[in-house]
Amino acid sequence: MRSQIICFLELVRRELYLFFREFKGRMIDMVINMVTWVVVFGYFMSDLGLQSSYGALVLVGVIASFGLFETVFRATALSEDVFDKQVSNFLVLPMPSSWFFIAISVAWAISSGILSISLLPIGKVILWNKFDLSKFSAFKFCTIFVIGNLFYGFFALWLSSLVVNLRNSSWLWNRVISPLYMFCGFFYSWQNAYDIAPWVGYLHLLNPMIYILEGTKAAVFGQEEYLPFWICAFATLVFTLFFYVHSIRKLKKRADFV
Amino acid sequence: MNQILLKARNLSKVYSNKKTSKKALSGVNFELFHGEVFSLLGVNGAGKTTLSSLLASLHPSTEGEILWQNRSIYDDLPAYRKIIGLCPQYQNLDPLLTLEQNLVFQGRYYGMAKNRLKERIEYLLSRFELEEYAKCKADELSGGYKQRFLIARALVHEPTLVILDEPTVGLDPQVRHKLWDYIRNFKKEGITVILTTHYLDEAEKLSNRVCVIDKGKIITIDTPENLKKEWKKGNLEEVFLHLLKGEDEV
Repeated sequence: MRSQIICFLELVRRELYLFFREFKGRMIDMVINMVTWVVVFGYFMSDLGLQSSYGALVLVGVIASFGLFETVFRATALSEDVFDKQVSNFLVLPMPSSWFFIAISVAWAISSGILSISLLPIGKVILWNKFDLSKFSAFKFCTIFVIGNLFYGFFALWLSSLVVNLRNSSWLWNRVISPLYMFCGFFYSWQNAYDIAPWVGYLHLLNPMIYILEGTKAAVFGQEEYLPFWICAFATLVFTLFFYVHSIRKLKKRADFV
Repeated sequence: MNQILLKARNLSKVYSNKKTSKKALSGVNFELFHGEVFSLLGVNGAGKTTLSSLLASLHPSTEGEILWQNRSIYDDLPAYRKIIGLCPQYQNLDPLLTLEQNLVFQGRYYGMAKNRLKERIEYLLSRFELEEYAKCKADELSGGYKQRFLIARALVHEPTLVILDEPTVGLDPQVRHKLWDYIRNFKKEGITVILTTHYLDEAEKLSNRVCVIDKGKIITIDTPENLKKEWKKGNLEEVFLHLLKGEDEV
């Protein structure tokens, strides 16, 4: 078992090695993206009548949803590698073949976490007194942050198991990513959706990302206006497990590994 | 050489999806001996790559079993995989890493100690004449060098069974002969080789035994010399054509 764990960890290490080689460029991209969102919603839009605290809400939304975009790009690359049989070397390593895909997902989760965690201090500096951290719970934030990024890692794996033809993968963005993102509570809270009509609120509960967003906001801004934190953490774990099981099953079928 | 390394018992493989089902292997039985070069011969689509993939534990069999040390390989797959070095038909080197890094990671996957790995990498780069490319990315190599490097990578963890799936396809004669020399050296080192090829001259020159496969079934297994003698033919190619013709007539 020890040698299998070593093999698994080395696969994670390889992925992280590749990630750190392009770390600087990705960090710059991500900070520019986040600063743009936060400055527009924190400063410009408040002059047009939007609450001045909206910038902080957007910042936390960016942190909580960053993993989606970070990992989805990698999912399409993995799908291509499985299709082209580029992964055969990894599928005969001295461990269960499915561990290769788990290692990839874990590495994606770690790399997305490393990038997105840095947004918190940078965002605080930009928003300063518009970003109130008096109710911030470090323990809750770390919990949902770790679970959330793991979710993105396995969700990306699930997406890679769905994409068969990369030349025709625009449906992935239009049918899956966009609705998931727009209705994940990035721009509003679950309570706002529920206030429109209860069924709208309940429909939102089908979106796994709502739990990550609500959980993160509850950890940063306090519990009052958001879904109960531990329900969010538990639901995210359940969805992670679901995507893990389903993606391994689909990939096993596609790559026909042992 | 007569010590048995692997036994294949009634192996079959069916590839199926929602619409179609294709039997790629059927009722395959043979024994593989320690230290031999065992060539799988057949036309395209005969089932050679499927069989070598099953032996490499890349794909599961639909029926039957592969025995190693008198146990199914699936009883302790990680242990079995440690003795295997796979050189696949597809060039699947890590294009983002240099050759040296490719080998370092490959050795680490198998838990090799740092010093041993360093020695092994130096040895392999030298043996396969790749030292000057050690810092190059895999994508920068020509086809022949990539193929050499694929074999080198398969050997990093010192496997006792190397599976070479059409290692000389598309290579010029000079490079092919170079690879043949490497394969001959495996024999001297006691490494067992499963060689998948459709170059019959290659199989005749390198193999201790050849296994002719057609339509997923084994037609015959014997030494090239015995086959030539039995069918009164001058070379393996003639034997091969004769055997396949016989199958078609049946």
